[in-house]
Amino acid sequence: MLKRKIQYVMRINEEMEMDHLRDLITPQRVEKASDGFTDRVMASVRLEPLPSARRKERIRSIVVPAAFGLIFVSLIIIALLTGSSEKSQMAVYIDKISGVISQLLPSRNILPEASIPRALVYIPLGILALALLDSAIIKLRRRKAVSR
Amino acid sequence: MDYKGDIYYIEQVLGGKVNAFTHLVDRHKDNVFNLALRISGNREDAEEIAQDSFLKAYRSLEGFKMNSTFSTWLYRIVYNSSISLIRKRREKILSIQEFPADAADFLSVIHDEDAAIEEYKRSLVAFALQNLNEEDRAIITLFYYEEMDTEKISQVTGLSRQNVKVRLFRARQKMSEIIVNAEKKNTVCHEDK
Repeated sequence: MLKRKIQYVMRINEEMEMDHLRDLITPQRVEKASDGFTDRVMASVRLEPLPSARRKERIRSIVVPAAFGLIFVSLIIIALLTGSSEKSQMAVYIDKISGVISQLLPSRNILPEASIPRALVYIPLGILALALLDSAIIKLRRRKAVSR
Repeated sequence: MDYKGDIYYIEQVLGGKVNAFTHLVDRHKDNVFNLALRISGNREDAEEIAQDSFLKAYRSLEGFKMNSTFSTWLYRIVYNSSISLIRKRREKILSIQEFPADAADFLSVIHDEDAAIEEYKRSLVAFALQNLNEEDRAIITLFYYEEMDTEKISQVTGLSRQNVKVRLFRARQKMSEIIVNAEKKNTVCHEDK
């Protein structure tokens, strides 16, 4: 099988050297693109966003989800820190902030008997809020692209 | 005005001067159009492919790595656009199974014998080329008409160098068969006459 393959490759290389087809192919006349070709291309190009604007858009598309991801991770960290029995200074500080936040939120005790950290109950709410925000941003960007 | 080189105009475009792209289009439009024409086989499709390729090139100009020439990078876009357009249409460019003319027909139209033979050869090769599939047609075009070596064809098509060689070999064999058959038919016709 390998021998056959080698023979085949050798035959190809030989044929490449004695190229009969080249004798038949004469240099062709160069066909010109139609009149106004450049103008038509440039008209379409001018409708496109600038490369620098596209770069900004790409950065924005990375930064926005990254920022929300960071908020999400912070929420989890807060929840873990405030849930520990021995509170560090940092945890006390976070607890104060979450206390302020919880005062701003409706005062309804969802799980009074649960032993899970207090802030953890707000995580589903956070996820939901982020999902809504994300879909709103996507819709807005799509509308922008269509209007462009 | 002197052409200052592809890289100069690319940097201008990336710097926000969109009009600099005009120079790139002007410089490469005929080569792009010719490659598209040979792969697609008709002017309308070639025009569409060429325009589309320049637009795609503009959109992804930031992605041009400058480790190959701009023309090679542009050819790659043209190659991919041509193949995808042909596949989308799923139609054979020329459905004629036999070469529709013989050398004598050319002599009756072009009275100079040498010119008639040249035109006959050119038409015969064009016919054979159109009977290949789109990928082989592109490889033959790049090798013979654009005079690229197998390494450069490999860069344009994304195929390995050995694969390019194998495809080139098979496409050439097929073209030779078509040409020989047409010439045989031509000889038989003349003997009959």
